[in-house]
Amino acid sequence: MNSPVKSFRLTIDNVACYAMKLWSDLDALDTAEWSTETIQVAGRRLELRSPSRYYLDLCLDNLVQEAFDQSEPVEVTEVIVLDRQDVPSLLSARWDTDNFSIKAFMESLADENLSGVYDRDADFWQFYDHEAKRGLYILRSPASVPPWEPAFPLRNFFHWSCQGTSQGLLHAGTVGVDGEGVLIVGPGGSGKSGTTLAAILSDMDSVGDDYVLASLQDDLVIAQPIISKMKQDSAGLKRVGLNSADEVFEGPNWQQKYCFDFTALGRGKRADYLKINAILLPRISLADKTTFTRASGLQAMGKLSPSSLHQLTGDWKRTVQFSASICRRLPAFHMNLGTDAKEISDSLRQFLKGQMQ
Amino acid sequence: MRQSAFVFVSANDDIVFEEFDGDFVILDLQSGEYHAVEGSAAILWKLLMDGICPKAILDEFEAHPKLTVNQIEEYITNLVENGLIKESDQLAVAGLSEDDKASLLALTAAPKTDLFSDLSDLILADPIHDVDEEAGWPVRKPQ
Repeated sequence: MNSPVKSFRLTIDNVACYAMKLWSDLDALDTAEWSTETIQVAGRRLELRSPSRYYLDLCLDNLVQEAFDQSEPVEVTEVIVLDRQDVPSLLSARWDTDNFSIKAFMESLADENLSGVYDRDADFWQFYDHEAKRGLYILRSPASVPPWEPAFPLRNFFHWSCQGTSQGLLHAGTVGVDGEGVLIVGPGGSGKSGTTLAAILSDMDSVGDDYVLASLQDDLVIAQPIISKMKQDSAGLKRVGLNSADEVFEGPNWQQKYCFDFTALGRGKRADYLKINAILLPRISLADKTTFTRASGLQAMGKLSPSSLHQLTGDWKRTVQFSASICRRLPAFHMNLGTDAKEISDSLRQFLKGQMQ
Repeated sequence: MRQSAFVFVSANDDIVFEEFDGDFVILDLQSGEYHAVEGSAAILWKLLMDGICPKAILDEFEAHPKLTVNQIEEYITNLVENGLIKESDQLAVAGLSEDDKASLLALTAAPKTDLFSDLSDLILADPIHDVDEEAGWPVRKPQ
């Protein structure tokens, strides 16, 4: 019979104590056999530690890594990723309260300069210590990695690490030429990924299609790559002349989409960064030609902000304020999409040239 | 409401609002409701947040060509009842400028806010999960 697991009587008020106790228990463990990877992503040096390779490999496969000098003295963020089966003695949480509120949970953590989430449905805990620069991600089992996780490993940790900076994650596609480009923003079915992919196939550059890291530098908006892959369904690939059976495409995933690193297509390249000049809001118009009409900042905000609020946990106020800063700085345009991928990408290239002037 | 000479302010720290060329988005982190505010509603919201009291605004609609005092008063009351604004204990010092009066006079449509997005499923509280000590993991309490 298994020995009973130690449990911590958890309330919303003492959730920070639970996080700190977890860290202190882990600090006392012998972790010499754990795997470690040090990587740099969007200017952040990360030391990833885990008893198993699975999640580390997920990060290596899906995050855009920058070259870095090991001897350079920079701040390093440690993130420990483990599952209960890796560390069976890990302190368990026993809720001693009637209602769970993620908002109250995060406010309680914020009092101790922590961020975190307890995901009730996906069965994971995440904590981030802003002062010590360390993160902790506890899964129930190796198989309980949420299906959306491979698309953007460590998503919340990157989100929380932006607190107190002039950076933030944006849910947007990007397309550019000669270091300058646009954000392409819209919900599923709007044509966001199809437009980005058509442009990449026409040799335009990108820093990503799903999430990018944006920095506000005076009046400028700079976008950097953070995740390496984009997603498209079989029909979307077919519309631009690609075949989902090609070995470049992994999947389909839980959304019936195929994941791929667009640089493997041998056309547009991944830029180190793009200076963003405008926000495009694509919409299917079935017109003969693609046209651009001016949109309001409010309309841009309506496309940019809700998806980020839904997919990034906590710091909701900051997420709104950051999205608003982007929408106030950049002109926005409806992009009324034609039906031909080549015509769409040619129109987009002309638009980019106009914006650069 | 009709005679209130007090400044109205956002109801609490959970109300976030951002302006875009005179339009606003308002997010209420308590309810998870995210509103788009344009046109007449945006003008009224800005005047209230700039410290203009309801009485000064409502007086402008006594002889308005298109809108009534009741329409505007009902809108401001809704903002209060929806937990977006509240009356402060500070008497309004600022009054309407001539430009403000002109923009109120030019209004033609009754004010309304549109629900932009509903995040309540993410933010609102739900019953706690208990722990399955054998598994060492929190589980949902039986309903």
